[in-house]
Amino acid sequence: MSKVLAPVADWVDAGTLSLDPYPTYARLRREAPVAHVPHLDRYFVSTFRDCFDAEMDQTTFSSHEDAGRSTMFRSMGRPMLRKDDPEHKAERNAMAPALRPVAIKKHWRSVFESNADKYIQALREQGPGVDLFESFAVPYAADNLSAVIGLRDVPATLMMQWSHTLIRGTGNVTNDPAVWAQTDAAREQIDEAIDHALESLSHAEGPSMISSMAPVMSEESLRANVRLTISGGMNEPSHVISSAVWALSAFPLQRERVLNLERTWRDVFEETARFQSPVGMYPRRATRDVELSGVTIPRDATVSLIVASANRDERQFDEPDVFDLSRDSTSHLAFGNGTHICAGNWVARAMVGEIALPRLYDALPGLEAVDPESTEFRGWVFRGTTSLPVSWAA
Amino acid sequence: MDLTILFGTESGNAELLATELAESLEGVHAVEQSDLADFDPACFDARVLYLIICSTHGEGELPQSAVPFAEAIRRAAPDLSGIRYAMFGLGDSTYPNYSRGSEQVDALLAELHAERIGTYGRHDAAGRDEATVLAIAWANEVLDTASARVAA
Repeated sequence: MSKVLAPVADWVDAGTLSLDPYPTYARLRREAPVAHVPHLDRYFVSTFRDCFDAEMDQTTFSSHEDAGRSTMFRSMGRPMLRKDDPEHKAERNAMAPALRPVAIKKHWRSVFESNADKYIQALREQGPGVDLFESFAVPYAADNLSAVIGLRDVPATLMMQWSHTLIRGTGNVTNDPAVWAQTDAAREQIDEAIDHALESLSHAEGPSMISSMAPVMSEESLRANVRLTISGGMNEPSHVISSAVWALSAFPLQRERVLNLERTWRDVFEETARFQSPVGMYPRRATRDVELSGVTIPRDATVSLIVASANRDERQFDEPDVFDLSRDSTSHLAFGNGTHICAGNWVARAMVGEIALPRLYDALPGLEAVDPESTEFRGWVFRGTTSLPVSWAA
Repeated sequence: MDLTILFGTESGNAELLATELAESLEGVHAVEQSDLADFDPACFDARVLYLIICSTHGEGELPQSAVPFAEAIRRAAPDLSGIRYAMFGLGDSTYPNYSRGSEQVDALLAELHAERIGTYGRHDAAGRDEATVLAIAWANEVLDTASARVAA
């Protein structure tokens, strides 16, 4: 069988992607659903079907990354996200007691509720015009994250700084020494916080990730997984909270349907995750020459599974560029799928869809973004608003 | 009626559903709950009605907590004549072999002559039905069927 090379999409531009990736994704799906993007040295996979199938096949599309080349390892060690099964599965099972739906019901729900109420109070004190992202979404996500990881007394601003520093490190493909210096400093602080948690392990406040992992995992892996969780557990929930409030402001008829109880907050969460996927791309490595959508991805190529594009694929979703709470299927790829499906997905669904959104709209009647038309979203690997001024009927 | 809720789970969703179902049935019935991973197939008891909640992993595979149960029951192959159970499957219809995980457990029990009663319950995560609502309605229907038989 002759091999058809993937088309070269030299017109894909990182700057354009960061501003608004969706027109680029639509063109990729139309013209080159599997494309080689030379200046990023990656193969972009942009349809729902191909992303879905690739994620289900970890033998071909491996998450195991070569330590020498990995900016993620340089910034946080080798977490489970960059391992294949069975190693990945063993570490995932170790932290599972903290992340299972039953743990959320018994332990975290009340913690999340009191954190939500605390930061809603902060919004009230600052009054209409306040930035929902900065004053609610970020500190709420940070405090919830501290609790679930099992870290104590970490201020929300520090948690956010750690998270952003680790993300910058993971993105430091140019090896900027200043970035590594910041990453190392954050790592040192995080390690101290982990030391502190390990010294006084307790299940009293619920089965945290650290107390679940500590008895069964090497300390090196435990630390890498905590760093991974800090880098990955902040942006996504805080982005989804502000993206959801933005979407319900930009699409007021949809908001009416929720407030009229025709649709649920769960619907809002799932549709927001589809519509403005906070993680837009999952990297994989091809372990062999593999054919996808009729073209060949060569062995050892870096593959970008563009789930943000898959979630706007017109072959999967009718009118994908519309925020619509009445879709037949609420299934999307924002959390990934297959063995690496986001371990925090139940925590995210609870803290955002079941707690933050209903409490916000209940406590602040008439809540809406001040200017949804000009709200700026940034990024394509991680995407969200950086601020969202809101008003309500005070 | 003595009930045992057994769950087979991957990420804990079937476990939560089992817990919520147990909460709704307690008070009226004697309810025990166990992970399939911790349940010895030699312990099936004809006086008990088993409500089994099982998810699906990947493309129709058993969830990890049902795997040791399936291995044990295949190995021991006990005669389950007289054992009654009902089945509720969790899945996502976006995936191939939707809800096939529970069907695998169902087939194993049927082969050993256990009797499934009531309707086969299902929840599709791609839809917008609440799993707890469906599972409670399913269990009530199963219990009605079971009591009607006892009365007859």
